[in-house]
Amino acid sequence: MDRIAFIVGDTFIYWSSIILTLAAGVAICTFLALHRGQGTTAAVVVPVALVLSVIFGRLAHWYFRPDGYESFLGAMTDYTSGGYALLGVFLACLLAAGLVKLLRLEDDLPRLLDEMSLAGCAGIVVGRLACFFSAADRGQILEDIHNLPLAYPVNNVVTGAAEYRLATFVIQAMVTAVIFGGLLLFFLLGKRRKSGDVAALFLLFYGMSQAVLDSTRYDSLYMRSNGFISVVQLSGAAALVAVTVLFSVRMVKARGFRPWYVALWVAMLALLGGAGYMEYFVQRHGDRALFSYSIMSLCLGSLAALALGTYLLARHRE
Amino acid sequence: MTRYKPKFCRPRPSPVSRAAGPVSTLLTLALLVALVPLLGSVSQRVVRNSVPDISEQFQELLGDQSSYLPQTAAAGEAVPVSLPATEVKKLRDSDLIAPVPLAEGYGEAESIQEMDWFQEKANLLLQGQKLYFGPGRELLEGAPIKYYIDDSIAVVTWKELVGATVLTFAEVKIADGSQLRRFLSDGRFGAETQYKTTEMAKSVNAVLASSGDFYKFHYNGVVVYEGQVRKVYSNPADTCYINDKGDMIFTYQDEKMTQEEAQAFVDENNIRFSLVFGPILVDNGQRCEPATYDLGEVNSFSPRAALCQMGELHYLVVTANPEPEHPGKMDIHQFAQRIVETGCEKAYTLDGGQTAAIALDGELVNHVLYGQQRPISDIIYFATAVGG
Repeated sequence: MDRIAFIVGDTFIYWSSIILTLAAGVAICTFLALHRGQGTTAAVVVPVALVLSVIFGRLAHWYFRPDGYESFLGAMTDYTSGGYALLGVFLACLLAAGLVKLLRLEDDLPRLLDEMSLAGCAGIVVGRLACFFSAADRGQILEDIHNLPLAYPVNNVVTGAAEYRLATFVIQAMVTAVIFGGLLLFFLLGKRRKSGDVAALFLLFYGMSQAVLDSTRYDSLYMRSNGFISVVQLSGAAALVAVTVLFSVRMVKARGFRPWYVALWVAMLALLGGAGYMEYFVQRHGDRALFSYSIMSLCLGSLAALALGTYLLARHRE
Repeated sequence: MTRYKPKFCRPRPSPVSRAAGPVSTLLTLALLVALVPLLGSVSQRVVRNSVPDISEQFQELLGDQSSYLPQTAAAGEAVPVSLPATEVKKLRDSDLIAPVPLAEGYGEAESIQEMDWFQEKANLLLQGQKLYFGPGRELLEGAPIKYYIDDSIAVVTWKELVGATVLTFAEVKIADGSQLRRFLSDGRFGAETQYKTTEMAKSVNAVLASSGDFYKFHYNGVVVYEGQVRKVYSNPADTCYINDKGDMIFTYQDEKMTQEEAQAFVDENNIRFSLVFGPILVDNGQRCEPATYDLGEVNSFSPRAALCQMGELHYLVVTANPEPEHPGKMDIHQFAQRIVETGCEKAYTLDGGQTAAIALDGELVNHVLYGQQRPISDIIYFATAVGG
């Protein structure tokens, strides 16, 4: 159950609400601290991204979970109940960045995306910790492990009994913190870095992590067309593939085509296929989750490492 | 690439930029403050609404008790109040958790002969009806008979081998229609979290539970929960409605209804909830499964599940699963043939595949595909009405 922080009139203010708002604040502060463009850009992009995040976060949530709402109109006008999808927030930030570009407030859109990626990363780290104050973290029930960072008690909404579940959100926060730390160092100290590289690397590593971690959740958003395909996993894998393709194209442009690239791409496809198969496998053999997720992580980690290699090769020549 | 510069090293911003800063800051802060009540409080709010007011429950309890009190008594006179030894209650759909079954009501047996006493004890509940379970059944070797019985419910489960497929039967007779119940994960319609059938069965004190229609998996038919039409999807599906008497009422996939028409149908027939998967296998004792159907891959060989009505408040829950030594599966037509042979009046297909699970006392009875239950969004279950 959500823990109430305080009550204002008829409105309950929950700790999770405060943490999520704090996460938005952290993201904004991180963005402002890193932003190198015009002050006007920041002044426009921050509130626009915030408003669009609420709207698109809800839109995505409604689209993938329509039975949680009376109607589309109800979902988009009543924000006192319902949920939000992080996927929509990413889309909102992208749109906000595109808007300031259209308004000619920002010349370097890729750089703005770099800054927003880092800000989003910081926000996710904090926001995921809201799980300590609610019953929102729904990983698999674990019989033997009862300690953080792998498991912690979540109250069953119906019975109130404590269930020790895989602490998916805590693990997500930790993984995202590592990604944030690495990308921040790269942003501040990276040599021969191009604008947009940080955003691309964020998509690569965050996409990779989500493709694995979202599979451990018992409350994922699923595709409308197939109730077994997680939207977040699919988006994470798509981001991973898109960035891999982008880096491969850059590598070919910078170094010219070499026959061994084909072997590299085949290996990448095989790794992606391996990860996909492990998802198929774990949906049927939940008792072998540790094995499945280890192999899946290995496959996607290797794919990300190969993609990073192509990036380094390209950057070396660029 | 431009290198990062600390703010004090950057050129001074224009007047517009300087004005935009404070305005944006104020706007952002206002937005953040407005966000606080909107985020993170969703599930709690909805659950609070779905849990009945406790004072209302006490009031109802007192109301029930008062019917046993003598209407006239002299002042100061001590009047003994005698309640029935076992009171069969009508359960309320708004109560998320059913009464706790009696631990001594559960048991196991190795052969049908050992279950003669069960038939006799169940006769009180059966009121002239006959159990399908009995001497005529050929049990799967090595599979025990499991049962539960009290004054309000009798359940017996067993397995039979048909060809190379294992059929798991759970026969149930209840005293009141309210004992056939529906539970959606987290106790509310539209909840995100999925659970295994056994987890949900334990959480609501189900005597016998079956995986339901996995309503979160598809968008078909008319979805009714707690007497309210929640969704009317345009995608067709045979729909099974359960009314207040525990009867199964069918509508076929070609019968279209608007939201208003559906609610009128629900009100008129005292419908409590619906199951939307299908197809209908047996209606009025006759096989009627269609040749093709949108849900459930009817023509492929797959694990199957069905809810059947044998008579008044009398049901069979059946699954057809492969087991390691008997790996056969059935298409819907083979399954329907086997179901109609039980003599049931009505039968409706529930979600099959890895979903198909039957749990007695929170423990699996059938062998689920791959040996692992799939997390799902809903179950149907039978509850005791005399437990604690």
